[in-house]
Amino acid sequence: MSPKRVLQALTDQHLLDSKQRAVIQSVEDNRLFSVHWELRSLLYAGILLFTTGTGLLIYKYIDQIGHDLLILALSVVCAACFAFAIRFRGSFSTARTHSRSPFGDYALLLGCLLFLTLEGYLQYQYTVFGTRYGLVTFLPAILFVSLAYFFDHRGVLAMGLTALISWIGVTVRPLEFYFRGNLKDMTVLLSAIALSLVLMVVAIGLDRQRIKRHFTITTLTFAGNLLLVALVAGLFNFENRHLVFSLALAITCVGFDWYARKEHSFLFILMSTFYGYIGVTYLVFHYLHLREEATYLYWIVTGIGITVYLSNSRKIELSKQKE
Amino acid sequence: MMKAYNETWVRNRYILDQAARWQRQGLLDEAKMELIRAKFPVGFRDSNGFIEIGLFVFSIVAISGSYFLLATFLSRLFDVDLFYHFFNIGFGAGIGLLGGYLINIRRYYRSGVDNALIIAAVALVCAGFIGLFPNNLPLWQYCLMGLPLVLAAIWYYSDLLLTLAAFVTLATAIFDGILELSFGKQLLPFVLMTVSASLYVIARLYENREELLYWRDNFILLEWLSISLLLISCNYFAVREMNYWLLDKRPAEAPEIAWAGLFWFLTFSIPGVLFYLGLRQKERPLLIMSAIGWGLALAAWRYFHPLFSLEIYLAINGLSMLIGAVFLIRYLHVPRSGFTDQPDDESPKSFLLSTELLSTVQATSGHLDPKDDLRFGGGEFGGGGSGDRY
Repeated sequence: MSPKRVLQALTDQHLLDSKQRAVIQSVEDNRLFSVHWELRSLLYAGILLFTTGTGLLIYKYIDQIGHDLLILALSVVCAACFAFAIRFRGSFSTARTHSRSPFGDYALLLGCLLFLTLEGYLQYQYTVFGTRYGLVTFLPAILFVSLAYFFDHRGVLAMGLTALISWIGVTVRPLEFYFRGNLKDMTVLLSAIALSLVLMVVAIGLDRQRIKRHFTITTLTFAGNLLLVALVAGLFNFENRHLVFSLALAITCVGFDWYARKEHSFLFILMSTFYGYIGVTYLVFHYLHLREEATYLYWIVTGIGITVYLSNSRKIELSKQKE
Repeated sequence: MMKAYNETWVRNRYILDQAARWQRQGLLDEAKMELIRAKFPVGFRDSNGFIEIGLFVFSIVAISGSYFLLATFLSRLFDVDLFYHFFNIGFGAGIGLLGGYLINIRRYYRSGVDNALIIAAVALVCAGFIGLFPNNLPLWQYCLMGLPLVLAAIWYYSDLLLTLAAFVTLATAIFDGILELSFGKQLLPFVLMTVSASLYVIARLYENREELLYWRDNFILLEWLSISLLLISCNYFAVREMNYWLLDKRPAEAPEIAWAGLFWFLTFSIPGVLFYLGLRQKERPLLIMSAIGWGLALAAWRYFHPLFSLEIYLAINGLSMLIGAVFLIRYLHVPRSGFTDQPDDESPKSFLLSTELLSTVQATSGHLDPKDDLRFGGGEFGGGGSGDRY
């Protein structure tokens, strides 16, 4: 429905007088076509292509390029990016801040990606970190998380958290439902759980202190996914610990459900529902050895049950909003 | 005639959306907005994207369970094929009725549950109906049998997934049907181009008709789909590879195609024309898809005539995109020829701004392999989402 028609409909119902209508009409007639997000996407895609290209380029021609020259060039560009970001950084505040340049955030992103290339190159060529491989991911993790808070950049925060998670040797990709890394190893599994709990406590603590509250959801999403994946993996991989992991998964799911209702964030309801369902379904089929008909009945009952439950979450939300 | 969803509510929804946009621009105050809401009520159940995903998935789980349970009980009857096909049609119709009932009672509108029921109903009815025909007919005939059913369902439900299904069915029918002709292989790209361009024109013509408001989103989706098909069917790489896969005996490498020059010309000129039209008409789908078309064209050119290695292309193209974007952002700092860099309501910012979604995508798809990282980690991140403000 074109704005013109809407304007006509409102006028027909005597909801707008002729003056209001004329104002809106003139605003609509002079409306500009915004390409803001298209250009940002182009910029972002350009950064990703460029850093991927240079990364691969160095990897391929590692023996043909002068090392010192390469390190120098990478360092200069990387430093220039950070310098640009610092130059146009908004004043520091615990609330949300913005770079004073439209390019500040992107320069920071480019700087961080180039830093990874530089770091990887240094490690490959000169093994600067020796055999302390953990440090190779821990360093960017700490650096990126600090930079994210310093510059108020959620993209860099996400990169930092990804690095932090991979530091303990886990790669979380629930979309593929594939636990890369070593969630079959109890030490790694417990580290993942510990890290996610620490991250969640820190995130909620900072939220309480009103420090960069818009970061809370990003951190909680990362930590929550890690925790839930770890618990489900525990259930799958450690048969003798089923009781502990089932209880922990149940408590986590209920916790997320409670938090989601409190904070009106449906993503967490969805997360707890999906992981909870996977866990319960696994246990049911593991212990009950359902026959064909019972399996189908299980789908029907759980499918309808969860649908009703999810529909009602919406109702609770609405009634809360009305209050 | 009656549709599945209340048409007045659908219309009021568009009016309220537009009025809310004006309110955000400061053109309407809250008191006025209240009056507008009272005058144009929308009775649909409020919805949330994340809950919709869950509702869709678990509705499909419940429907599958019911289908297989009932099919297991009736399996003895299925020795006669006809029973099985009628079972599908009957079950599909039942699901459809249930969908209609829930849409009325629970006031669903694209809320996940109704989408799942509609998709399942149409899929089962189509499968049952097609099953009634002999099973040695060519694929395109089955597609053409199913298409009217899907189109009728789109007319009734205006469902977007069904629109996608109808588009794929039509494209498959054309693909398979044309190839039956002796000169089909040569003709196919041109037919696909003609059909997709025509569909785009039709969608553009009818998209803003008030009497067709119920299907507005379907027309917009059709625009995106038809431009995508147009770009693929004119692309030299796609045509050459398709030609290769249709050969009875495949040599090691895809052979040169007839009218290669023409296809190279189309590969580059069609995105150019789309870009020009997009600029003239200020059409977002045209502008975005023309940029993607150019990307595809350059990738095709690089594939057959590589000057440098892939990494160099990535770096050079990335850098030129970066420089181009920086230049345009600076250039459009002041509005020029009706274009601006200031964000507005129409931009797809609801997606890009949704930090929850963004961080989930990052959390679930981003990966950083510690081992890779020992060497070069550039580009291994699903980073993203920079500042949202100019």
